[in-house]
Amino acid sequence: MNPVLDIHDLAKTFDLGFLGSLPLIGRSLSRLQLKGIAQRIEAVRGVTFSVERGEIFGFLGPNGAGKTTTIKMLMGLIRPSRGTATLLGRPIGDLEARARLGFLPEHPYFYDYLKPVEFLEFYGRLFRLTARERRQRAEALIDRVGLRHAVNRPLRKFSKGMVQRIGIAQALIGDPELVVMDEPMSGLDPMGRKDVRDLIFELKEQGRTVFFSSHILQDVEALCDRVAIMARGQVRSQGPLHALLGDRAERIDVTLAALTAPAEAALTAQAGAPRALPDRWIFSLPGESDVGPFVRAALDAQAQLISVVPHRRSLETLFVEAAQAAEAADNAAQRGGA
Amino acid sequence: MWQLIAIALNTFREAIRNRLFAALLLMTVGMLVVVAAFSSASLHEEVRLVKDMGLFLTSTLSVLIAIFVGVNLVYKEIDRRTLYTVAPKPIYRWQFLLGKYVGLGLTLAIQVLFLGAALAAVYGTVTGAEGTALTFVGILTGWLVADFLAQAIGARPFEPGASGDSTLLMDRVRRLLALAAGVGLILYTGLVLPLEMLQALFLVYVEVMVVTAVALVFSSFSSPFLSGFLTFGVFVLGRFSDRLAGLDLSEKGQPLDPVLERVQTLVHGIAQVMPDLTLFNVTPYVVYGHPVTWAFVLQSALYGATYASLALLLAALMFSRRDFM
Repeated sequence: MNPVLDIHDLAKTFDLGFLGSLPLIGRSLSRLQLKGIAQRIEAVRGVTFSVERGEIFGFLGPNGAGKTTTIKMLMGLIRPSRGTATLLGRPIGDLEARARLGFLPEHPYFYDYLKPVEFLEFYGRLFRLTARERRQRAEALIDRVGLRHAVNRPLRKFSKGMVQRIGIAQALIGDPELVVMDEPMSGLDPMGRKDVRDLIFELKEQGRTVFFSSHILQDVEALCDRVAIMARGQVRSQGPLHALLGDRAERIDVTLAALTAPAEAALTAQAGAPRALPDRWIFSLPGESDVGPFVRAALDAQAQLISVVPHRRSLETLFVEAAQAAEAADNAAQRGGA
Repeated sequence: MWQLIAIALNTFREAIRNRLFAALLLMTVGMLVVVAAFSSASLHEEVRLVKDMGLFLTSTLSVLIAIFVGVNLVYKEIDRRTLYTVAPKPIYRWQFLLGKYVGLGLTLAIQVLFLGAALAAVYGTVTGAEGTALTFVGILTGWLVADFLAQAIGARPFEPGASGDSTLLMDRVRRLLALAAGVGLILYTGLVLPLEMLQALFLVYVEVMVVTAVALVFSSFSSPFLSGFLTFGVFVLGRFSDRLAGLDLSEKGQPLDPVLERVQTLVHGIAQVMPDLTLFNVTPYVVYGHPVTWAFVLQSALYGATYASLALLLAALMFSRRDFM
């Protein structure tokens, strides 16, 4: 396979503080970690993953994990301290690759004195589209993102959701092969989120590759073919969603009613103590193979079967585990260093 | 090149939509009042005073605005994160920077034109040319009224779907009106002012573009406040660069104290690096009616273009290495 996005050991260290940002001497000073004066922050610490053509790839992680810094490096907004990356087979910053790329930043802010058509035509000019192409694509995208009603309004009068929609339109004006979006669902209401989800599916159907970061795990679970979970500047887990979450249930909850005391004792011996509700008993079984014999025994004891609910490992669990593992590893490293 | 033009036109459009022309009109009226008031108070020196004070005000106001807008030009794009969607497009960072400079240059050209036309109105009046001020006011009023009407028609609610095209048509009409007003002001200024004053106005514009390039250098790595402060410093030193270069601290026949000698060397060094803005000030010639040669004007313009190009090169180098956090 030929990856659309290939990142190898990408890292970024910021030299911050009053003196840290000085050219040449700032880097040496910031090694001393003089807080507020010259300090080094390792935002991204050697990230490696790839995105294949035509897939929807989710980039997850808690706040401060380094997702936006990684995306900014890919978009050429920040220079990597180490590592390499290729977009559409070309190095970061290559103009030919950029011509086939669409990008929506996090919390976008645009030239608010422009009206939607002017705004999209401006970005169309940057892609060297002809006047006719610019006009046609701008009009089509305005319809696609549902902003026809606001076509005469300058962007300063747009709501947050409308700004996000016009932002998506500008990301698509160059007819990109790869669309990169940083938190595209952020700040949108449920309808807006659904629209963006539909749009992302539509892009995939058109054969485009979509790479997006998000906090909203529900959306990621619904959309993505593969994900990478980042925490504390490193990718902690990555792969196809079904492989990460597993196909088998982790736990099966069986809810019973009309249970007699001897039957409860017998079933407890088989599956452990239930969670007791006023007229319900919920037994948690560890594996799918235990369900058949347990349900048979319950029915034989004249119990009423209310439900059998399998619980798969959720993306949320995976997300929390990755964040906790990263924190533990960092703490251990700090203790080792001390 | 197309990308550069797109950035330049967008910068120009931003200046216009941010009510630049309203501010310009206000400044122009202010200048007319100040110059007219001073000239009427002078005794038989009206023409000299209009030339002197008019050129001084045109130059100072233009440079101050150039510094203010210049230091905010790139900073605003980073601070408001508008750059985040432009930089990942197929455009080099130097093209972006140069586009911003060209766009501001276009805006500043119109500013100098406005102030020059206002100066022409006062000059025409004090030299006794009948109807001069009336023509100036007529051009401006005609344009403003026509633009207001076009805007009013363009702002009318249209049926969805057709509205975009109607607005576009009105925008084109407004652009044509502005162009016609601009041509009118150029012709008016050119016909009313003597040649040496036109040459002086041209050199004011070159000076403004040099100062803007310096502002871009500073703003490519520091905050607007610091950039403004540093650019203003360069402007002041540049205005006195001939005196700095010729500074002689020695007393007649006395050897120079080593400390003073170092100070003198430092001042001479600073004078070498600063732009020689005295080359763009021909007011003394204009005031006393001495002709300014075209050779001088062209040499000064060439010097200004070279200095601005070097400054822009430096700004582009720093800007291209910058992280946008």
